[in-house]
Amino acid sequence: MNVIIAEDDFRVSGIHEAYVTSVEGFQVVSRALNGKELRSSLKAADVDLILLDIYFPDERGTDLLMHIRSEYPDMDIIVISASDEPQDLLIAKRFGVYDFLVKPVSKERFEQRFANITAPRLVSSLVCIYRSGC
Amino acid sequence: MKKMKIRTRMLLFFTLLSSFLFIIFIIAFASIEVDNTRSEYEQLARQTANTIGYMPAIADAVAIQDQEELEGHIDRIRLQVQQPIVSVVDDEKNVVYHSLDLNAQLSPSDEVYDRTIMFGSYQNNSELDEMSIQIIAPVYQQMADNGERLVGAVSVEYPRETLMSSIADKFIRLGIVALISLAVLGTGVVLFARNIREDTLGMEPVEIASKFTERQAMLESVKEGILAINTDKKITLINPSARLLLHHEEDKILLIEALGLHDVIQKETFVYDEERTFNGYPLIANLRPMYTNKRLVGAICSFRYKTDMRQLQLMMDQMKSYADGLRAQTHEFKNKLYVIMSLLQLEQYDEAIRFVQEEAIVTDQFLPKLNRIEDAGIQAILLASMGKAAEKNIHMVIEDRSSLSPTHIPISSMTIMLGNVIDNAIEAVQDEKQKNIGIFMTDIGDDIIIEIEDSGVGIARDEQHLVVEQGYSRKGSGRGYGLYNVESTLREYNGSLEIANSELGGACVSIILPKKERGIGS
Repeated sequence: MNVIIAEDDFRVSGIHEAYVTSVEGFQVVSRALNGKELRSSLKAADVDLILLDIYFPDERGTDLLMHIRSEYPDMDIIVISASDEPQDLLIAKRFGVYDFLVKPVSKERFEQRFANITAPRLVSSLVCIYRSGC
Repeated sequence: MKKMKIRTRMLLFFTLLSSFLFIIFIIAFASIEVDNTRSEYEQLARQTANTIGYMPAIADAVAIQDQEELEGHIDRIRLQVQQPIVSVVDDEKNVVYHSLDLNAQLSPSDEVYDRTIMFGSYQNNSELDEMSIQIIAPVYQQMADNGERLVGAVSVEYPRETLMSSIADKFIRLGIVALISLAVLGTGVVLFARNIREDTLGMEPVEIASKFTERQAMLESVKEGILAINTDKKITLINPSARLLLHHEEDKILLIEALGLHDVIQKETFVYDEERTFNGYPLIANLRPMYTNKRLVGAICSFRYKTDMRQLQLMMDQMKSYADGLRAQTHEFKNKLYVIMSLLQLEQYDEAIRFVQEEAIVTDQFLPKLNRIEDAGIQAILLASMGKAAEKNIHMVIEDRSSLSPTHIPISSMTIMLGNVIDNAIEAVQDEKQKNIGIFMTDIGDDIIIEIEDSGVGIARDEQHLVVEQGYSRKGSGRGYGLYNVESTLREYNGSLEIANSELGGACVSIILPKKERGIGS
């Protein structure tokens, strides 16, 4: 699965990349440090999953959610942020994110969430093939 | 002690007053009525005695002592004059007729008829104290030669019981009228009190007085101007804040027109937060018609300076922005912990140690600088601003030479001054490649000097005097109040604002404030 890491702190972004690549079947195709970079990365690459932070220097991740959902409705999103504000959780839930992880997240928990994400995707792929051959 | 209700008080007052008046009236009436009754009965007794004394049939009957004849005549007369006691004696003082006792006789010592029988005198033997009336008249017989002969005397007497009964009867009738009057008065008082309460919206006078005092205090304390007019367009209410706008008598009419109170009365419309202008002052006004019992009685308007509201809004925005800044700092801290934890989990121990050391150096450098700013309010503003800047990857530093003792400027004013300038600097660099902001502050000398410089595009020299004007902005409409508010607030503290070019490449904004409070606003 192709993953984009959207995180404004380059150190955290590097850590997320290390976590993602440690899980079999996932590879990082791009790292975006702000909203503008994320939008252009989404256009440039074939992406299955976004690891999205909430706070960027130029815009909020919750605003980006609206853009992602309207342009890429089938894309999976995991929000990973230091924010645990109810408003952010509510917006994330409304836009149907796969998960909302509050920092700090342990490596084990990170890998566990990634391992889980493949299962429903496999099932939905099989259902898709059965129904219409997509 | 709880005061009685107005209705109860009025009822009590009118009852006492009317009772007192009735008593006075009854005493006076009784006195007059007793006299009148006596006079009436006296006159009646005199007329009756005269009538009997001059009746030829009576005189003839007395002369021949015909009792039956006398009884027939006198009883008919008595029936018409309220049944007095009548007695007739002949010239020998023999009782010829007595209405109570036909066999009554006078004792030889009884001299009551003597003067009448001897001299033909009229006698009035009424007893003033006893309330009894007795009139004695002579009885004359007409002779053939047209002469008269005294043949006896007639006594007409009204006893005390008759007079008292007559007076009592009048008093009973008067009492009934008095009671009906009292009942009518009581009902009138209740209705009148109710009518007053309707006019006073169901409130007691003591409540009205209390509300009036509260209203006066409220009107004098609110910062908003309040103005009310009646349907004749006359001002019925104006508070001190509104009066500040009036410099001449004619300003009253102009203010009413400027606020649009006439339209509110004509169209009976409600107006919320609409902008009005009076003498060049922008005002935000709320207007509404006033009704009493669904009848339009006038209109009222509350207003305040638009700039006041904008300033308040800006301050609230600043506070919210600081809360965001502090939130950002918390997230930054969590991120750093997350980095350390993750590096350890990834077994990148050297990287983790280096990261901790770097952070320690930053903290070692930052904290002493922050601690040299001893004003707690400014410290808070700087901390929040730094959090906000860090979130936008802006490098904000406090210059090494900075130091500041606690100032006399309240945090609300400092928020407007320092907060706005730092916000401007953050906005100026957030889209630039180089995102640097430098802050320097000192109170060496007589003034407090705060300099904020940035690496943005800067402000052209010929534009520098324009940026402090209200509404001037390069950032689009609805902006251009930040530096205007900064300068307005600075003026309150006799301070000044200077704008120059910065060594960082952008603007350098200096806030200069007199260190000591030298007559604020003077």
